[in-house]
Amino acid sequence: MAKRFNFSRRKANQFDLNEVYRQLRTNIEFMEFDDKVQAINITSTTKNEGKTTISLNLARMFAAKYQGVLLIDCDLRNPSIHKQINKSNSQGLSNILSELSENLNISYREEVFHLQFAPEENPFDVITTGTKVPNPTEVLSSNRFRKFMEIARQQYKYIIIDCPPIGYVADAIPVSNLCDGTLYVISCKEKHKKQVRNAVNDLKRTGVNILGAVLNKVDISSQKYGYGYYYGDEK
Amino acid sequence: MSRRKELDRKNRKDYIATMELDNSFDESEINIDLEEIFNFIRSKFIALALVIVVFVGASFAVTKFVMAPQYGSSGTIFLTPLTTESGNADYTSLNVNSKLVKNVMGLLTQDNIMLKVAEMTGMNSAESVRDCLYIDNTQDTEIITITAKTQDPKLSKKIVSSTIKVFIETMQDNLNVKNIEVVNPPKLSYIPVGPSLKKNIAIGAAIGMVIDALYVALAVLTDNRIKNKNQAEKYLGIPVLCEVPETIPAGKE
Repeated sequence: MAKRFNFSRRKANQFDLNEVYRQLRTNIEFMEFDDKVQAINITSTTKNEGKTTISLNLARMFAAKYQGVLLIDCDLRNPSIHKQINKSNSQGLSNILSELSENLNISYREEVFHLQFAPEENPFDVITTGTKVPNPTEVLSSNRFRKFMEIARQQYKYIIIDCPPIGYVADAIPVSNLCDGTLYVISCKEKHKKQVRNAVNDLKRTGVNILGAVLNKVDISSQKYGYGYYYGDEK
Repeated sequence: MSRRKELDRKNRKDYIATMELDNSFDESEINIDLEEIFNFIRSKFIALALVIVVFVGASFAVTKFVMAPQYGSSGTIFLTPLTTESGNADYTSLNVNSKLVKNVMGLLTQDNIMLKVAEMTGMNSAESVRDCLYIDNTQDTEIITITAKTQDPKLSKKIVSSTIKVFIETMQDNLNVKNIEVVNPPKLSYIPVGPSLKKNIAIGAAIGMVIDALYVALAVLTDNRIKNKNQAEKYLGIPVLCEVPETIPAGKE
């Protein structure tokens, strides 16, 4: 099942968002050193900083290059991936976890959606949050979820996880410990400099591997080079 | 997690830790980035310029339409030196006069004279007369200019002529000083000398600029956003992997 999605539109001028996400993918690949970065989780300080958009686009970018990419929505309290891909959230991660078994084949589960952005790109799998649970933090710190991640690592090349903001709940911490790296999304429009710093320091203290930050909603008008006028992309 | 993985993770943390060495951001310091100020002014340039224009316009309007025109009148007096029989100026009296100039300028606005002038011109008090008077002395001369500025040209002239008259009379009667000459008697002029449009516009522009400066300073200092890559890396101590520009999200047009 293939479906085209337009995740965002341009505000002005000629730049290619694809190039931005491609650069993000390249930078993540570059940070692998000896150890492969297979599972990446994405979090931020507050809501609406752009985690879901970025995780969707990043998954798409990885899928454009590799086969076997999985995107999971782990924001059990405020799920948003199903909204952006316009799908139902009646079944998802919580359902898979409740029926977890050793011979689980994730891709064949009915809760999993298969998306393809363009015909020339590989499709990638998306798991939404599913049935609402009363204890999200416990679910994400549970052994079941850990087992699920182990199975997913065997069946997929790259796993991208959209987590809730750490400024509000600690859900992202157990997930980060199961991942190889964490991306921290920062919106340039939010007035929360100090909170970001405190949150990042807290994250560092828990022993999480922070790959780096992704600045979102950057004002490009004040930059001379970069995205204001994209080289080779004159239309 | 395997031992090797743990070690590699530690190495990665060292890389991040070296970035933290730059992270010496003390909460008690306030860092002002000139580039940030410049970018802010550039983004809000029209609004800031508008403030100045508004104040200039307001001061123009007030000066032209609200403030009453002022009319002035000037008279000049001269402390004449004594002349000898042969017609030459007496050197001693010249010296004395040059020292007298400052005294004369002070004496002109003393209460005794001002009160009489007030009576003669119908003004309220000595103070109100003194407020309209400007006494000036050309450098290195004994020429004293007395100027009055009021809203009535006739009153201005009358104040000057009364002041000069009363002064000369008082000096003669009380101090027996007779060497004061009126060089230019005050004239009636219907050309307004004030208020000064240029001066008031300059003041208006200055007020506008001060308000702009205060606004810019406040806005930049209280700005709690992380705006660019350099700022983020310095402030947080983690590398910035990419910058996603602002877009309109699908469905939110």
